[in-house]
Amino acid sequence: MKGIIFDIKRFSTNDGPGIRTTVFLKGCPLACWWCHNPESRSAGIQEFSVGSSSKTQTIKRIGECWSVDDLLVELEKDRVFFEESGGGITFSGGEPLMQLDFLMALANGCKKRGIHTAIDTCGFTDFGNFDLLLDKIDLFLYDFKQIDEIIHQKYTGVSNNQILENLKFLHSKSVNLVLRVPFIPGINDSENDISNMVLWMNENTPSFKEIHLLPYHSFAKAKYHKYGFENKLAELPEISESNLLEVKRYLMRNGFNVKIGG
Amino acid sequence: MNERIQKLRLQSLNAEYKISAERALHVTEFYKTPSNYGYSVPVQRALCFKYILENKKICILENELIVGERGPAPKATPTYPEVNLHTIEDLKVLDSRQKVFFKVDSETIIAYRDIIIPFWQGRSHRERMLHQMDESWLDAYAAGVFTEFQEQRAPGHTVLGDKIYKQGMLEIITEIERTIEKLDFFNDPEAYSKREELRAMAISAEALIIFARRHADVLDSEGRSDLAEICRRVPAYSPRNFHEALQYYWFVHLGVITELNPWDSFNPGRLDQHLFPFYQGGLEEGTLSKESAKELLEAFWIKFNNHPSPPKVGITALESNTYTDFALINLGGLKEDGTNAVNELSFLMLDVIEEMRLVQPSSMIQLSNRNPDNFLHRALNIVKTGFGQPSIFNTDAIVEELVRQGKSIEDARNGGASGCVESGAFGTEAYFLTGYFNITKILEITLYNGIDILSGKLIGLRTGDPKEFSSFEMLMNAFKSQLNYFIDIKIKGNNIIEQLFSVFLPVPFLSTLIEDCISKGKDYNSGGARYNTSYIQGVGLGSVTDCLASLKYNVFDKQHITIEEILKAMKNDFIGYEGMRFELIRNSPKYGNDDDTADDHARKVFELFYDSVNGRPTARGGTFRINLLPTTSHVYFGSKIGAMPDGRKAYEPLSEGISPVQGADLKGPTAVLKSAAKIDQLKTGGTLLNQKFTPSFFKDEQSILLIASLVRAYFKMDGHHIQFNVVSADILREAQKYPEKFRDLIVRVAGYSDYFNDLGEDLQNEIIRRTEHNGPV
Repeated sequence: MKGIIFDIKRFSTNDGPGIRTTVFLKGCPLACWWCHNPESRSAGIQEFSVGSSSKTQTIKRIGECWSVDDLLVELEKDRVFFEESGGGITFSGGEPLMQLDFLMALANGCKKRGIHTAIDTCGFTDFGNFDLLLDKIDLFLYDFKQIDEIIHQKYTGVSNNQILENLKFLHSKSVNLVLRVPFIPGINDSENDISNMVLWMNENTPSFKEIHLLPYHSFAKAKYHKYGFENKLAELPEISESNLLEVKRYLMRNGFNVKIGG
Repeated sequence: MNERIQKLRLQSLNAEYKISAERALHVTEFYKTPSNYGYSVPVQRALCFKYILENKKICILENELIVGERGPAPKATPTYPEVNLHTIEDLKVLDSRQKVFFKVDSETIIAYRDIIIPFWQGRSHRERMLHQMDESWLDAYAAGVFTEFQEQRAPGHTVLGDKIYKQGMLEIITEIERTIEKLDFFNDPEAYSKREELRAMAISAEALIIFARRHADVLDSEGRSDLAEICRRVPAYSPRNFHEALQYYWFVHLGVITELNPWDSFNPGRLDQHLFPFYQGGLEEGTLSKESAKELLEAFWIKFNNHPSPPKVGITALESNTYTDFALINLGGLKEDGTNAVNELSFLMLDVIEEMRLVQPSSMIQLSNRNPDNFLHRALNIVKTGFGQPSIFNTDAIVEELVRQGKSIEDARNGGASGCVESGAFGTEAYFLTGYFNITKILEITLYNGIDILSGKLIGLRTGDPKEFSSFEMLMNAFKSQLNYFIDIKIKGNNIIEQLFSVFLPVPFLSTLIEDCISKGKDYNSGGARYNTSYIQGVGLGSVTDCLASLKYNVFDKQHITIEEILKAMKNDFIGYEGMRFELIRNSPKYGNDDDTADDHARKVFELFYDSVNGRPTARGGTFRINLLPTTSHVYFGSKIGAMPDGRKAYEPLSEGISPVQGADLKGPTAVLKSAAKIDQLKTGGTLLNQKFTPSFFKDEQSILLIASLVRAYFKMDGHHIQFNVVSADILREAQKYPEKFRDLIVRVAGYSDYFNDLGEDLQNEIIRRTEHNGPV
């Protein structure tokens, strides 16, 4: 079986515990305005012509086709570091569940090799899909972007209905889960946004207590320009450090363990 | 640090580097005196040593706790005309060069012109040695195939064991006399030479006692009777407490670096082990507190900083362009019985290292599987502050390396690393570094069929025109022949030079300190030590690997470039061949990415180098071995090589240690460590791996834990050593622009730390280029 990935990052230290290798699967059902990897949205291999003038232009290919077996060999290379640090492999994207069979084969392979697995997911997938992953994934890094459905729809292109349902399902299965909240000025950082999120969680997923706040940064700006994507967040201000700390304190008062950054 | 230490530290930092003619004048006076003509060489050397210590100016600074200077003042650095006679021109260069300068006053120039040069001209070791080297050696040396450690400095590179903490010099003299009594002049043909050597040892031991008592006299006259008492006690008798132990070592250190200018200087080695009984005893008796112990250690640290490496000129300056004299203090590791050696003093010394922030002494931690994590974490928290210390060594690998070389497991566990990264059995081994070996240059010579392209001279073998090589194996065979040819030249030279030191420049004082010189009646320079090793240090592993990988991939596998085209591009330094160069850099396999297609070449080159050197006998009855470290020779060696098939432009620095080519590693630190661990490091006497990180990698406790597991994993794969440069490239660029603002910026160079300002511009650039792994945002 084969799948399409667009990057492998070793010594990844922000996608779960320990030293990890993160593999980025291509394709995403969402179109978040703040997306750091806009070139990963489309499911197929893409070619971009990059460079400022016709002379310096070169073709950049995004996406590579890998077989499960070859990829597992590559991913296992840092095993000694995983073992020493309590790390492992993280599936990220894109949205890894977009290539569900490929993902399951990879995760299965990891489990057989005794390697810890984590998945970085937006949660937007058909009901029932997460059920297939329960015995293969040790840690879910689950994005929580916005509790208000209208706003969610506006900034990500999809309703959050399914995402919240899937989150409730994972809660009912008592999985290890960390909520990852991208923290974006003007989009989900108001007092209202945060308190509504807390209310929802207390009611629906009370045992999920780990939150990672991921402050928005504009590093991806150059990428949007390079590949010719429209950057709807071009003019966004940088995060205010004090606001971030305030939110952290608020969440901690509400019983959450909060980490800033991954 | 308290006010006293602050003042002493500042005094040391601000002291001027200058040449002192004092020692050279004493040596000259001694050798000019007719009554000294008649002695055997070792006795003459010992009497000369005694003459210096009886006559040199005693320098004791206000408020000092540990006393004694090699020169008349801190950083006033002596010369060794019997080894290397500086010319007036040399002295002018030393005085005026921008980096690693030594000021020379007119009195010194006059002394050299009128007294020192007229006497030593034609009698120095350097001249004697160069007369002995044949044309093939001189050609290879001039072409930058190898360097020679013993051209301007004596063999050294040894570390003291625990002898002096148990025995005073008087007791050692008694041991020597007993050995003399037992000499058998009827049956032992070497009895005479043994007696002369042993007599010389006794004279030099006595000389150190005299030297210490002269300090005591001055201290008495200044009313500092407490220190005077210590200087009357040690080194004559064994130390009774912490303070005496430190002062004893310091006198011994001065003795070793006054007798000759050994490379590396000298080293107390496992200081936390040797001092621990005195520390514990002092605390129990109430005569010592943690604070007073720390103050004494800091005073001790400062003494090292007062003693720069003796002035080097020419190629020797290029291969090791630094004030550092490589005294590397070892902390942690294993006890003789194999148990965890980390103690309270190990931690206290880490505090001292952090507070002192001095280039000298160098410091490292030994990390065994049996050492606790909090020890490593504490060390990494100092590394984080960004002055390159302490470096981190794998004790279990060192022990295995030493045992493989034939040492007993106890001697191995009592060992560690010295200099940059070199494994040794402390107190029992004489391990000489003999010179760096430019492995990449060997490939260049191979590609030009024996010719040194920069001079146009035929210096190697005619191993064939590479255009006619139909397979990669043919190229490798040619490379192997050239490698063996030049290793033979180097080894022949080494064996002559080793004999020259044995015959003309024995070191009876150092010989009293290293086992089994006394019982064998043999000098340290003649094979008196229990273990004798000579190293050839390979340089440019990453560079030569990338060149071979590029040739294999582009010429023989893909066949999209011919070797003729590559050679043409190389001869033109890629001018007009930018497209090909881009291809060679971007699309060829590179060492450092955990990619076997490249790393297999590293393994192969390593094995060839190992087979060529390892196990061959040395002139003093020892064994040749390899290690892989560069100091600053990778910059010098790069300047002796034209453009190469990996896309490297002419004269650019080579890769350093076993690190990848600067900028060639694109898969992060774990891939670098995996690549580096593919060579069989246990077959070396040390490898050097430099990892540069931005400060963000060490930002919090969580990050430190990750770095710690990175280290542990590398050591699990038998990695020998790792060091971290924690500084951002932007800061370095800033420092290059505004050196005056960054006078205190210390970076890890290669096995040692140095002031960024003191580095040559090309080395500065190279450090900036070394891959900067981007940390978590």
